[in-house]
Amino acid sequence: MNGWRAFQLGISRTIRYWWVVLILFGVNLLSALSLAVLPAGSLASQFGHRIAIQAAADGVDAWLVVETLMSPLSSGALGGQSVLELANWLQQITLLGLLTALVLPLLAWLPAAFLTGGLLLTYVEVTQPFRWRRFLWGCWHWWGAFLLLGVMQGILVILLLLPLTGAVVGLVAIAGGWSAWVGLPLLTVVVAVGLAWIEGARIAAVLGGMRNPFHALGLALRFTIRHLPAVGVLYGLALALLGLLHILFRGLLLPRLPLDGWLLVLVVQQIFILARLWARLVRLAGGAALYRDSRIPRAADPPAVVHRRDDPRGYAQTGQPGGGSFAAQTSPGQPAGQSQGDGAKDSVAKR
Amino acid sequence: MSNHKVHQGRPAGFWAEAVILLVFVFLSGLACLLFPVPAAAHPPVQSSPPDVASYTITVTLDAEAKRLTARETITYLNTTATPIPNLVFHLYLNAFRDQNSLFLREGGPMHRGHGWDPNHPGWIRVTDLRLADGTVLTLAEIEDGTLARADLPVPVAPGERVEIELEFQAQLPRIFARTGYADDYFMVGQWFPKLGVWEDGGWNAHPFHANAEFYANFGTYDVAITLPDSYITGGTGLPVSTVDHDDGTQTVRYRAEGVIDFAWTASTRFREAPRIVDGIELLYLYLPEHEWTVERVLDAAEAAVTCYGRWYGPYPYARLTVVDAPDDGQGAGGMEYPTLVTAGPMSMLGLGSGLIRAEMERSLELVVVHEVGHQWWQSMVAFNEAEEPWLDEGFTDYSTLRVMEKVYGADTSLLDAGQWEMGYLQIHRMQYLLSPRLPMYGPAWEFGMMEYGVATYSKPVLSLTTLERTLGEERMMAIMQTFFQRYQFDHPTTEDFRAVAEEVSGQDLAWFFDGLVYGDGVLNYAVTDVSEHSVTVVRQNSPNSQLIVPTEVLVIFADGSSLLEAWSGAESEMTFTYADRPPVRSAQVDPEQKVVVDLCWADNGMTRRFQISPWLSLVVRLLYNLQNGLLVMGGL
Ligand SMILES: [Zn+2]
Repeated sequence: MNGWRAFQLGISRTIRYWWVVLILFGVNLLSALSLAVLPAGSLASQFGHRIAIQAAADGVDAWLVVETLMSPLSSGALGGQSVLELANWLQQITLLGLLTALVLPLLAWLPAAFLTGGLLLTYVEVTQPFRWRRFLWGCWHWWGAFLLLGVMQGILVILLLLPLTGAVVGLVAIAGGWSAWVGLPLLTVVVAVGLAWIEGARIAAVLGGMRNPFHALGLALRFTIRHLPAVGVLYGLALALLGLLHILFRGLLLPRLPLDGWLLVLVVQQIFILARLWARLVRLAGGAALYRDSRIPRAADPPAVVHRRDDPRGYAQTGQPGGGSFAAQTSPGQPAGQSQGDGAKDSVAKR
Repeated sequence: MSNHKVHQGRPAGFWAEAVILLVFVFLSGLACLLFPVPAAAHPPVQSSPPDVASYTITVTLDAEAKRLTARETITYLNTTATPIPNLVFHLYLNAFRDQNSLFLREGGPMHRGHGWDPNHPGWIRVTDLRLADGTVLTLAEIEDGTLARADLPVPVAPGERVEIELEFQAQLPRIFARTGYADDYFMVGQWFPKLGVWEDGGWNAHPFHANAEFYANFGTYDVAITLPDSYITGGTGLPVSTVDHDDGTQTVRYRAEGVIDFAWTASTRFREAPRIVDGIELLYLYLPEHEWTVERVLDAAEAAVTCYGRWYGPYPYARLTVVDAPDDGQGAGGMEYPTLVTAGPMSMLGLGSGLIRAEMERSLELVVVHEVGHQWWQSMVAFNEAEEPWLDEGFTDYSTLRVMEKVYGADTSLLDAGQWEMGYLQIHRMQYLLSPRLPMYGPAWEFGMMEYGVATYSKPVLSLTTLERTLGEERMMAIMQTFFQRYQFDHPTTEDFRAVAEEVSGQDLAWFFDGLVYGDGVLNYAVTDVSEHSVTVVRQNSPNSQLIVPTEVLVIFADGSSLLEAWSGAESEMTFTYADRPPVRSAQVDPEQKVVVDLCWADNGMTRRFQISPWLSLVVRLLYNLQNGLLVMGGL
């Protein structure tokens, strides 16, 4: 299968399983709402009756930022008798900000790691009619493995991507605009390859029915190297789709919205979030199609037939999730199912 | 005689220092060079400049050793009623001689973010000193050697002139604190033995303090500079002759009348970009790597010269030179001399030159506009910068703010990067809030580094802007113009300004002078209650001092009608009642933000009902940003 075909399959499958996007969106929205409650309340109590809130809503006003930042000193100069107690509010907001900074990664990471198993299982077993139990089983089954993968991804980002980004930003700041033409494409390629690898590991894990993240990473690395053109085209297209959405919304739509039309802003922003989630799923669904279709090196661990016990209905009826080419590897000499994009035939081959 | 106190800078918090550093990198010196040449094409000098201290110097630059060898003739006129028994010279370069100088002890080895290099110090030595009749004088260094005194055999009587001849050698430092060299780039300031100012029966001459600038009499400067002929030069005044010698050197002679100082610059790499504005030649000497700054620097200089000329009085000299500073010698940038100023692409916000190049940060223009402003508020109205530094920096930066706001927009005069905007006024508010109770009056050496920034830049800018917005722009400009024209080529003090301001405005401006200039007054106006038929406003001051600035209260009623009430601010709490009007919707004290020294504007306005729409608007944005954060960190 080539990258373009995988991309097409990614689009069609994300649309077919539209509820997956909605689940992710719902989780994202609820998590954000839970984080927004306290700061929103604090803002209401501090500025709800102040005209200054209008200035803030009209765009970030430098004077308001300056006053808030300097409020501990100005209230000191007034002998502590300030009206708004901005200094206390600054303290409160800083604490909330720190709390958010701590909680946000967890809120982002735990549900994402959880949902990935279920959604990938859905994209791998394409012919399955949707069943909540199966989706949730997928979520639960790979949660631990994907948490671990998430940690490794985080470490990679901190150790490699952040310094690289810093270096590019520094280069652009020092050497001027031209260096962006070198630095940014380089950064994009690094991000794309890294994503393809890490996401490939998740797909490989689900497809191969394995939960060893190191093994999955190894498989995905080999797969990415061997099928570089297809993976490159798929990720190129998927990231271009994402970039297009950003340009459309951030570049064209959002700046044109009236700042005071909060309802319209809300709707457009939420559509943007939804669209970005969808674009990401296109990548994953396309990747799942590509991995299923391609022959990759043999997995060291036999795919987990034991899963039957966990969900007898699922595997007994349709074969194990690793019914694709991964499974085919476990019977050397037997050709893997080719590019039909459906799991049933591959499962038969496994048996 | 010289009096000095070594000021111990108070320890500031780390963050405060960080803010200050940013502000300081940029707020520092400015250079303007005014050059009086009587020419019919130029506007006439308002009043003819006095000729009190005149200097004729022939100097040779050893470009390899970075050393000057010179002969200097000074004529000094005793314009006072007391005889002058001795002479006191400034030897400024000795401030960079070693770490024991007052300058380096007070300010440390850093000046405005640039370091002093102990391996490349600067110094000056007078090798011969005598009167015109040949009488040899003995020169004795005072304190750290930045001052020296010689007794005269016969005092100079009132109305008499004394002529002094001296020879000196000066070693230029690696560029530090405005002066020195970087490779083949030279910015030569504070470089020759210079007399103090004889007044009130003594020499007004202070040793070179880290924060202090200069004070000198007006006079004529005739300076002949000999250096290799590969160099392009610039200097105070106008070049009147250039002579090439057989040994590969040249002598360029500059002459300037009615100025208080002389500085010059030279580099083999200078390029010249001239522009004529209202008969004045603007000359930008730039380095090839800064070619991109040419149009912007000239535009800024033109805007500045045009605005100041219209507001205060015409620029009376033939040429104004703007000198670029190299990237490895930015300590030379941002300084003012008569008819010559130094600039350079240095970022006030500390964000590198990328934003400046992209015309998002206006530090490049800001420095030019500020330094050119010193032509009016230092070079022509020559304050005592050491004893009353708030006058020259405050007046200049207040003028700078006016130009920047008019040309580049009030909200974008410093930063204009898409969503990120910042007006120059806000940087001053930020710096002011670091220490708002600091009186701005006081000698430079009594302020720590941070305090100097607040007292001489930020607080004066905010106070003068408050004065302008309270009196009205027209009346404020009348004050400034009267003050300028009355004291052009003179040395006015704070009290002289007070007299003019109160005379022209016809008002008692005690709140400005006693409250802000000499006093530690701070002020916060706020609306504390809005009910259906009444509005309560308060004035808050620091516990032990009062500051009252007249202001207004805007009340808006439910039917959309409004009422603007004048409020003297005399009452610490004031309730306005409106029994016969529709219910009050909102109230705002100082609705046009005229009182920019108000410590907090955020509490100036209040509504009776909860403001659901702006609140939702902010919450929706917060939500979206949190969702973005979750998406980015989710790694899905
Ligand atoms: Zn200045």
